[in-house]
Amino acid sequence: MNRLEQLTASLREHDQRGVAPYLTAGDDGLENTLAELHALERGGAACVELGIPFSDPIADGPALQAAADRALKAGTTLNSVLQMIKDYRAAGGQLPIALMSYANLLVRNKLGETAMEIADAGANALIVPDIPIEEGAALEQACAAAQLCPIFFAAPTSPQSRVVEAGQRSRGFLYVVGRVGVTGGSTSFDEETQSFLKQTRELSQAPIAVGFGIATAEHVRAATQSADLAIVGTALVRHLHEVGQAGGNRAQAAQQFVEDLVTGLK
Amino acid sequence: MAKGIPSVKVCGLTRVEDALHAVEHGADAIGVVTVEASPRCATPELARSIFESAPDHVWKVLVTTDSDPQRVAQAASQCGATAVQLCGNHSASGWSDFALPLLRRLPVSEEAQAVIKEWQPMVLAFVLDSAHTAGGSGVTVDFNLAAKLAQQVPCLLAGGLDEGNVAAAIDAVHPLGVDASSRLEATPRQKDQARVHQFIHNAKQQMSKATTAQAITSVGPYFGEFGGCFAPETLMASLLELEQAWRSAMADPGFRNELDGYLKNYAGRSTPLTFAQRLSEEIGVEVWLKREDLLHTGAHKLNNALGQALLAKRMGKKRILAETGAGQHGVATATVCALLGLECVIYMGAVDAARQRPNLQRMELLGARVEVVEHGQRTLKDAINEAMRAWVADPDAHYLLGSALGPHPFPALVAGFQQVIGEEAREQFEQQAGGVPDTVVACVGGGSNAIGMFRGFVDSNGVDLVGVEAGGTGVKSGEHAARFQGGIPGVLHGCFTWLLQDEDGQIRHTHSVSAGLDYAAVGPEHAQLEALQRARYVDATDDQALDAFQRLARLEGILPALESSHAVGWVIANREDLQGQRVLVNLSGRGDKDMETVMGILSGDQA
Ligand SMILES: Cc1ncc(COP(=O)(O)O)c(C=O)c1O
Repeated sequence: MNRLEQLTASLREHDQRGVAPYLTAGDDGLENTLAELHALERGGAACVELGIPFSDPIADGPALQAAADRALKAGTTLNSVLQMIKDYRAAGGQLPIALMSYANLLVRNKLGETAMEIADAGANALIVPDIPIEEGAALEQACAAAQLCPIFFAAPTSPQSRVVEAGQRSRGFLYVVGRVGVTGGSTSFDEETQSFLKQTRELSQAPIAVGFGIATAEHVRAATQSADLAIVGTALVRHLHEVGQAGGNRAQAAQQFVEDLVTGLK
Repeated sequence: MAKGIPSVKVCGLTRVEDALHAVEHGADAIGVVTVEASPRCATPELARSIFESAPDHVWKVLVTTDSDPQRVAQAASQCGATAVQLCGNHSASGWSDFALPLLRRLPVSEEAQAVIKEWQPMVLAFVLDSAHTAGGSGVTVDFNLAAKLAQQVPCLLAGGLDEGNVAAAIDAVHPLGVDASSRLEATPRQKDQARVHQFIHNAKQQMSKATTAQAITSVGPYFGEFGGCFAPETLMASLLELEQAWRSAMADPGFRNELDGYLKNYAGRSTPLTFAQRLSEEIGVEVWLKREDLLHTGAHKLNNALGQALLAKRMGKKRILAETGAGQHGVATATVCALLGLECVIYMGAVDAARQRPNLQRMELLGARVEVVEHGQRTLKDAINEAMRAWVADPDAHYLLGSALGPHPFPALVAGFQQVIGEEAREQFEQQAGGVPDTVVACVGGGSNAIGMFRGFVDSNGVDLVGVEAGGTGVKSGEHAARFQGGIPGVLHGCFTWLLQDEDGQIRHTHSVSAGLDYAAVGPEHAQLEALQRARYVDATDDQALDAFQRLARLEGILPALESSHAVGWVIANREDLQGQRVLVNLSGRGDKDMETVMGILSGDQA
């Protein structure tokens, strides 16, 4: 079991929940991302989702598109992100890291070798929004050899049989899209969403992490009624950018943001 | 010199008279085995006299298990071989710059993928053979697996073939060629000439029955190693629903009839085939134009828009989303939505909205809402990004994708709705000109007009299929959209295919004077046609397209779309090589939409 599997297994065992913040790697430069990782850890994050910027992120809304553009402009590449993760681990960073990348960045070179490099750098999982279970075999093989967790998705549009299969084939957690749409909109945790999450938890062999639209401690409380992890992406990315623009300290802001979010955990 | 890929190979020859006989009856490759353990092993001297007996156009293949490239090169040159077939279990290292074309034994087993990965860059073709033996064993292979491999890479089929089973084997596997040896022997080391004759005859007959066409034109999700369905989970239910609806519609004569009715009575099919007399005289090439510019709304795009909109209605969809580059697909979509009473939203990059303004206005007049995309390079790629995001948020809508690209089932589905172009053109050419053209040319943006045309001719191996990409200001300048020249396979917009990307995997900016060709990826079926060497992909520059635009206007009274002008421009630029040929060009659309762009450039030129 790698770091991420240990985390989610232990959450399940103790009936606990966690907050998983998302950062676009290299937004405002990788030095900032490195500092923010440490800050998120101090603030009480359970693990982190780290997005590799891609020029054409079709599953992302305007805020994360803009963050990717900023990161690319700052010269961020998969390799430079991996180096940053090494630095984080060398400085004692303990958070499990799930790397989020669009498929093209991973198949640019041999997928198997890329997965090895990602694992060697110290990341623990691969989330690929444009690799559904139909195309997942190569990802699973590469991850298995590198001891990374392959993570698949379930959406409100997924038939039950797909949820079951995605849950079986995911390691660490199953990524549950809380609502229909790209990243950045708001999710209302109404009855329908809650029953979808409850059902997904029952269908999925892997623990579940829910994302898309979680922004506040209140949302975290609602999401973790069924989900093991609440992923907080756009809200955090937008907040940190605003703080940075205003000349504030991004890392400090990241820590405070998570400290607030975790108050929503039971 | 022998060309292409051998289609009928007779192997294990040990007598000059057997070789002469095989060649006389049409074998285009002969093989001599120099593996000592083989019962059909020949000495270097014997190999030499067998190869010397055959004419130049025949492949002379030396079959060996030797792992040393230098020794093999020497042996091949001593006996006059023109190709080498490797049957040993050794690795590929050292073979990458071998001077002669290489064939490589491919065991039909789980090992196959590893062999393909290692050898594909350096071989002309693979030879599918039984997993357990080194060839010449007479054991037939697992046809199911062999068929998959033959879709993936260029393959000859070997293993226990004879005159009795070769037709069925070709039908099951669709290889590019066949190879037989032991089962054609009367006695050890002596061929049964009657059976060899019959084998060649049966093989050729079956091969000509559109077998390559079936190997190439698939219904997806894969075209060889290309294609697939790389889509976000939120869309998967919609994509699976679409695939099912499409399959059921295709099996329903009622649907086909309804579509044919609209194509004929609303869109104006069939479109004419025009002999371009004055242009032909000027360039010394007989040019025939398939007039998709005369289809309602002015481009081939309507064929697909009608097909998909009827499918959407059948699925009970009320709202249509679409992207557009040149605006032709947007106009076609807005048109069918008006016709069928569907709500319509079109995404168009801001750069394209400016350079194809008449089409933007047409869409609005037709009642569509046009969303202008201000992100990225603000062209077709970004319009597709935005349309896909809109679909992710609204999976109850139908996404009416405009070219033969994207996630499965779109590439196959769009090609299926466009193949009417090639089917008509083939029949018209036969009637008006007789026979088939020497060369068929089409421009390639995403690839829908080209694949529609090519599908009509892909089974005639003698017809040269040429796809013309946007050369922009020249491929060397980096300002172009020639994916096959400057690209690397990868994943964009849902499929694995050739695409323009940088070293880190970020999608590169593209440039073309024509909005419809200005796109970073090419449809996966074209990627496969290229891999199988059934079609070739070239480019025409902005200037060549502009030249063609003006010539066609002045010589034929036709204003072609700037996209289609690339196809004509390539023919004009390559007229020396095409002298005396009959060339069929797909004139995919008309050029009214491009007036502003062309006039702007021309007046700039004069200033
Ligand atoms: C007239 C015309 N030809 C060709 C194209 C290129 O698309 P495709 O390669 O799908 O035929 C377009 C696209 O907008 C077009 O409008």
